[in-house]
Amino acid sequence: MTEKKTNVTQLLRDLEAGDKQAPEMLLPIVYDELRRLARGYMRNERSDHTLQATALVHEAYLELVDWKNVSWQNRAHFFAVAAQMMRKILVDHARAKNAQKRGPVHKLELDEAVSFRVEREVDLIALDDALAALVERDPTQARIVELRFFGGLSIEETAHAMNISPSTVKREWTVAKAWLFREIKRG
Amino acid sequence: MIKSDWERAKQIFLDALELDEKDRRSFVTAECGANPTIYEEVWALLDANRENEGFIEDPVFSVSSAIGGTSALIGKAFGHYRVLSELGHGGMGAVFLAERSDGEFDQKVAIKIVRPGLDVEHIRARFVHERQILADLEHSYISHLIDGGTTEDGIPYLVMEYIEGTPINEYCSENRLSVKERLDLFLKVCEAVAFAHRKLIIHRDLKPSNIFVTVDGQPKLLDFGIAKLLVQQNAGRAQQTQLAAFTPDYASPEQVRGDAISTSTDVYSLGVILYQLLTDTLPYRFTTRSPDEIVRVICDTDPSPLNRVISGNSASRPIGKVQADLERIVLLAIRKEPERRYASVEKFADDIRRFLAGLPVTAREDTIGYRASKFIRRHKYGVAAAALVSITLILGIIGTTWQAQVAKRESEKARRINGFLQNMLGSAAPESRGADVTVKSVLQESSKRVRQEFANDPDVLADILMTIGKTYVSLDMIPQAEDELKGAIAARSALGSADHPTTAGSLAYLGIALAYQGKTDEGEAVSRRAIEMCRALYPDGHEDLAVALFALSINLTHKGDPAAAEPYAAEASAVVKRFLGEKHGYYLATLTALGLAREGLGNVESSEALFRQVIATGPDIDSRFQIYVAQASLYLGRSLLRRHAFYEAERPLLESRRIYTQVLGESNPSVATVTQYIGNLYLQQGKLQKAEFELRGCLAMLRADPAPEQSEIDQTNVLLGKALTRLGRSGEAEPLLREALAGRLRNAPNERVAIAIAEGALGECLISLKRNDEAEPLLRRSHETLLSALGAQDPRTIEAYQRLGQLTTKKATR
Repeated sequence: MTEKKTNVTQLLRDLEAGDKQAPEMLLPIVYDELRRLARGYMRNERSDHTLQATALVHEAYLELVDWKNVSWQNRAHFFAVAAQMMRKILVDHARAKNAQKRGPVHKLELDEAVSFRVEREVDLIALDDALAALVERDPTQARIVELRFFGGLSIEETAHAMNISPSTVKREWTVAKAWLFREIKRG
Repeated sequence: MIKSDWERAKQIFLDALELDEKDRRSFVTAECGANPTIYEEVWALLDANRENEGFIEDPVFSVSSAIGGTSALIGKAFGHYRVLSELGHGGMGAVFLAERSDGEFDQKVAIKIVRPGLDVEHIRARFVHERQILADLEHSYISHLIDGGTTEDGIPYLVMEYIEGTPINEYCSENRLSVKERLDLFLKVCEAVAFAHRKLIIHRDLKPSNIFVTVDGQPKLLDFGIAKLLVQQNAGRAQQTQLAAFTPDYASPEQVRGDAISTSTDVYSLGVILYQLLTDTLPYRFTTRSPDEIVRVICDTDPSPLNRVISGNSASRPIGKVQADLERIVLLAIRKEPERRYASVEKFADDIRRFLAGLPVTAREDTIGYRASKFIRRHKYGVAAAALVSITLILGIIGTTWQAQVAKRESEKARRINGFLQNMLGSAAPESRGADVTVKSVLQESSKRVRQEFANDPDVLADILMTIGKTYVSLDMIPQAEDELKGAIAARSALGSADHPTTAGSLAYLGIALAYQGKTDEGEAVSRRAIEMCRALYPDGHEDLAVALFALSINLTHKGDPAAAEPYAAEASAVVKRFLGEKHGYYLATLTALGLAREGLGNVESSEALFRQVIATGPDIDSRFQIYVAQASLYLGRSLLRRHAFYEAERPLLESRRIYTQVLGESNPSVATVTQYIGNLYLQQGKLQKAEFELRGCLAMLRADPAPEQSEIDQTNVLLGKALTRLGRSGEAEPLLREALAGRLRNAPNERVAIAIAEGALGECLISLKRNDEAEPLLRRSHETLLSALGAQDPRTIEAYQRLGQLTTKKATR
């Protein structure tokens, strides 16, 4: 096992045990790893962003975590950290792409917004902007969205990572989705 | 908005969601009092909530697909079952303990989930077929399949009987079973494995942890079929990947080398298990687990003699010394070369029974026999997997031999043919690598070798090629059949005698092969020649005449001339009945052909009755004729589907697929076709998710074909596009539909109906994308074509008409 792996796995355990320093030490390692991997993945830009992101985080996880020896709680922490990074990487990427096109930033039509799920082509930039507005209003909700959408955490895992109850996560998630949806639609 | 207002708005919004739509207005008005900011915020949220279904619901990436990410599934519902805890997982997937969530009855089950990889479509298709095979494995010593399905995220799963018990080796040690008790228990395991082999299923991953013994002392085999599914997944990849799929302790030399796997592989694993049950030790020790070491030890070193390991193992005292005969039995089962092991699990079990009864065991004979004559031994035992093949080939041999009784010279010919075919059966397995020893590999090898071996004896060559060709026809491997049968005819014509029975027979079958490939002009000519020849050769009729008549009728039907086809189909069925009886597959085939002709003439009542007649004989006829039941079921299902009798159509279609899969294997054009109909059925019933699943499975099968049938792929894409449109995924549907339509226009510009249907589907998709202007010309053209080709009453025309109506309504309201 690599030193990095031992290190990250231990940090996750410390984090679970309540070590407040652990997240800060974890962030740069995960970020570097994701960036390193992302360069490979994003180079051949295709439509299936989702697949690439999945592969990306998945690979980072395998690279960094001795997954046989961590609990699901440890996992939740890892993905919580990764979620923040994923958001940054994906949104940066989308902005860079948009800048290349030099056109005006494309605003979502209602119809397109409705087909979000099917297309899986969420306008990441619009979402990121809306999330930035949401942080001002309700930071808990913004964090939940980040963990659920960019981190792929379940309700239970989100609850654990944020140290709140699953029912709270569920309620706040419902509100956040409605609010963000309207915010994006309004442009 | 100030924070307290926001908190208040949130609360009212959430409370309002709990209420019925109609009660919300008064509730919100009452709650918000005179604060318009909150009032507006709440309504904005409620409106957004109504429209945002699915919005950011799927994460940018999916945790459930990450290795070890399975804990996310705990508490999740799979059909009627709710996941309680994980029982175990590996690189390939995970198994969970689950229980009925609807409280119907208290039942614990094991749910198996295959981790979706990048080629999900492929895995899905395999999963569907694996499920059908498992559904067939009902045996009291095999953990049975209860249910299966696909989650909303498209992950396929299987629901299995949950077995509470102990792995067989632990059970034997813990209960200090005697040698006899161990053997009795082991024989039950053999019974279950033999049962599976009769169903053409090889376990490939037999090991104690897959053989549980329940509290009442009954063994239960777990994991049937999955191992097969997963190992095949890796076929053609590097050795190490393969190794990961099974435990090296119980793996046979052919498995670790990546060679052909057959029923002998299971014999080997059972042998290792018996070794372990008798000695509490494994036959091989590995110092490291590196692939090289594993291959070397398993393939090149001798297993430790049983009694030597026992003397060094104090824990196994209670069992005592293993008798010499029993040791011979074990060692015969774990021979390195598959063809030198017991030919079948049954033979293995028989020998154990002989041992228990104090009779001499065959394992002893083998040792002597092997030394005396390796060659004879090989032929006597053959390869277990090839035995699965032999039924059809042997039928051919019998036929040939019988013909050969006519003259003395001919019996020499029969001997040579016989010898050749037996040789093929006996030796195909060890040479073929990488894939299963299947009918295909034996036939392909035969066809190659026969041309070399009998190049100077066209008489014999023609007969064997005809036999192989006929076998290909019965296996639904039509292009191969055409080659062989043409080869037979060419070999015969080299001899100059044109009107020979072999030529007539080959022509008759060639007629079928051509019809099935749509080469109907050539097929018609060939069949007519075959009929003419048969009438001259056999004034009193003959089975080949029936085949030729049948071939002509299907060629004519496929050409679109059912009126001409009908009398030939009727005559074919009368001739077949006289020569082969009502329980012969060919009789059923001719009834089906007659049904098709009648269907073409518009007499649906009669055609469906004929198809039903064929299906009804199913339970009474030989298993090798079940394929005809599958065919009739397909046609009946199709007919019912066409007249929108959806509910009735499902059963024959599923039945058809079950039989096709069982007889022809998992990936086969016929299985693909029937899967397409099933997808179409679900589409029309509005079971869209199921439709998508089936159609994607169908596409995977079609694409897996070495010579993909483009028009079928286009057709499936049209259906899939429709399903996606109706699932609200029009964006995904559009490129598929455009590609399919372009394909149809390019490849079959004369198939107006098919083109019109593709146009209609694309139009429907465009409407839902609010691109009515683009949709309109497509829909108009589609409707016009269907109206003129099918008439106003055809459901397809009606559908097109309705779509057009939708368009004008939308226009009016705009």
